[in-house]
Amino acid sequence: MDWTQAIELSIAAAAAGVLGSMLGLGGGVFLVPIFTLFFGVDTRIAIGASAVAVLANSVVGSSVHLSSRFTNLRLAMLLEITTATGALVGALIAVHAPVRLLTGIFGAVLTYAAVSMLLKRNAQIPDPTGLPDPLQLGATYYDPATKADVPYIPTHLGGGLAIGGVAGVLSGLLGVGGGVIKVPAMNVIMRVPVKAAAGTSAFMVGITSVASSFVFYSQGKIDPNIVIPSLIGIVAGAQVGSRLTRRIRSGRLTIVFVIVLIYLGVRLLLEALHISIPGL
Amino acid sequence: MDDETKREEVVYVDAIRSLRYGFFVAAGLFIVGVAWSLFERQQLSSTVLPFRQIPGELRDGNPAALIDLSILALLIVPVITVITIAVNFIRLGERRYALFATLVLIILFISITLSALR
Repeated sequence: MDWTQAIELSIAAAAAGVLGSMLGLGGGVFLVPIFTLFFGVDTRIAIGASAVAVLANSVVGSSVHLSSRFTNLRLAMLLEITTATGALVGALIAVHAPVRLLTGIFGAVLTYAAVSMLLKRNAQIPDPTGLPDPLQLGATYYDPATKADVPYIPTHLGGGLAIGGVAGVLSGLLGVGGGVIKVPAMNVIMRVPVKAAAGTSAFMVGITSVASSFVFYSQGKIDPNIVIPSLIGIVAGAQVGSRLTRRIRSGRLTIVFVIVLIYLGVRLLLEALHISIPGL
Repeated sequence: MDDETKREEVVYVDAIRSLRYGFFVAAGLFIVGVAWSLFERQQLSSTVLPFRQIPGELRDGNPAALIDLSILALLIVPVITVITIAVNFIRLGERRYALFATLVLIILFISITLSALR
């Protein structure tokens, strides 16, 4: 790999870091398609690089989310039980799964994420007063964008745990953080405000990625030529993204994400099906 | 900030510390490794060294081993953070969440052990 390509990879990773950190997505949903579609990187190597980069993004970005109290550590520990288990299973499958199948699943996941993000835009968070909180998961954070305290109590824990497991399998299988599943699930099903869902997910993706990253490392699917520029870019991007989360209202941003996710998702699905459309 | 939030402050502060210091250690190893590679005019390897070969390669003066070690150091950071969280929940008498954090640690150790055995 020459210097020009390394710089291009870093810039792409920085953009993924900004976008990923802002919505707690880790950035893997952007990295893997960018690496495979635009840089011609083998899918398994792209997934391995993404897993490490997503972990780095979480390590850097989570400090800011934790200090803002957007991260709910109790909720993160509870959901991580099923998510980390799923990630381990997913990574063990991924090293043997056919590339075309992985590409197809990735495309489908991105398209699903886009649709669920569109749907969650109008989700109302109920007033937590009087809601039962048997596991003491309720929390409050201060939102600088609206200049108000936001109290909430997560609901439907069984559904959250089940979806956490699915997110973990996809995380291990595809080298993503699983935030594309977790953030919408926490927001829509568990009624967690989007900033708390993003902050909690951003922290969780680092833990989830440990389980899969070690599997990819031991299988020799980590290429330093790809990983190093990705790490540099994503760490820089995460710094910017996690700070922007405090200030920005998420409505318009969601639309941009949805457009990008649909574009990448459809392209990957078409590639998996060996369908070529000029101009796409 | 309510009483419960204040009581849990230590869990958050220590988690932030372990993430920051862990990242600094990994980044330090990474920067030295890359600088060493440039100094030796060594091309980056297209794959990482197996765990067991890293100490030997470091002794033999292979900068690629230091870069691989920095990647492994980064992968360990969330594990250390979960250990910190588990310890702090135990200190606060939060048995349920100490147990959840311990379960997460067990799963992570299984994945690391399975990887090391391959």
